[in-house]
Amino acid sequence: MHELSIAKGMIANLRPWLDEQPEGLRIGKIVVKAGPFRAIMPQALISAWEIVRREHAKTVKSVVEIDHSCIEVVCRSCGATWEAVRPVFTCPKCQSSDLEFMGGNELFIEDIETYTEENDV
Amino acid sequence: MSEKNINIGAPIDFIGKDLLSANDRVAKHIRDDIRKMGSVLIHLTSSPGSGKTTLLEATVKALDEKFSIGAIEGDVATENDAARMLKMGIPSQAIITHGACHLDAKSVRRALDKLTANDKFDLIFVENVGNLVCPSGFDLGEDHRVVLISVAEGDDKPEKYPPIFRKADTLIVSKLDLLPYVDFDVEKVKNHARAISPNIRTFELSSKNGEGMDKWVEWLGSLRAGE
Repeated sequence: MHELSIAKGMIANLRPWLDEQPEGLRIGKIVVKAGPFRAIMPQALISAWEIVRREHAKTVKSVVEIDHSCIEVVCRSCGATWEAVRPVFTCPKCQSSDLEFMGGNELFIEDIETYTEENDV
Repeated sequence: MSEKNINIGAPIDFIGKDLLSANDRVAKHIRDDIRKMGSVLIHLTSSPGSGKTTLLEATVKALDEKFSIGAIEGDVATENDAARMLKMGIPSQAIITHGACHLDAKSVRRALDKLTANDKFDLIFVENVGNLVCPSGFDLGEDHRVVLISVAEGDDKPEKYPPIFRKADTLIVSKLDLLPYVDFDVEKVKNHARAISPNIRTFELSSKNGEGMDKWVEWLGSLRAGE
């Protein structure tokens, strides 16, 4: 359940900006980019955020959406490259196991949706 | 009544900022302080029961007081591992996570401050909570991250748990004395770990019968000699 620590990291990253926003601003959705090497279980992060979002008036009704990024796999034997959602250990073209993985370490807020809730002002 | 104003791709400073950046800042301070102290911080991580504490005990014996050693022992519920180190004469601090599945830089900072309040160490080991998933994203300010896989666990661990290997620079295949009794392909594990972390160095050893300990201890010694 490291996702709880990650949800706390989300609010920590957001808080300085949230504090500067007009009182009526609300966050509707937060899109998190997550790479395969960050071991994020989507439902665990969504549930963790439902606890942590209460820490700020502007995020209490917000939801999290996870945008999974890919790994770029390079075969060092035959030069083939392809994208994969998780590490693979055999090249599908030449069967070599001499592979290299690029990227996949991403974990950041990629996008947010805000709205103004007049009744909350 | 709600009025929707959708902001998409707003140029705001938290967009693209790693969600564990607060942890990473604390980790950087630890790394800087460890350097100033003239120490080396080694983070041991693995599944439960791979032999982290037993390796530390064997390491202490093998180093034979050549270096001063301190230990920070993470555990979900007990101080058992810290007690084992204290029994070996090694100053230790326990971090009890009360159910949390990983250490973070803040908890290590607190333990490190207590450990180093009156003592200086050549090598400080941080033993994470036994878990092959959750610790992977948390920089603890270590100079080296060591993943242990015991031969009894099965040789598909890098395939099943790639994130734990991604930031690791060292792999230890432990409990080598059990190799005759289990189906475990050491080369396969090493190759898969190298695919995930291309420059990972590897050791194969048994804390129990001492096989392979010489190379591990030699490497630890080179860390001090290299300062």
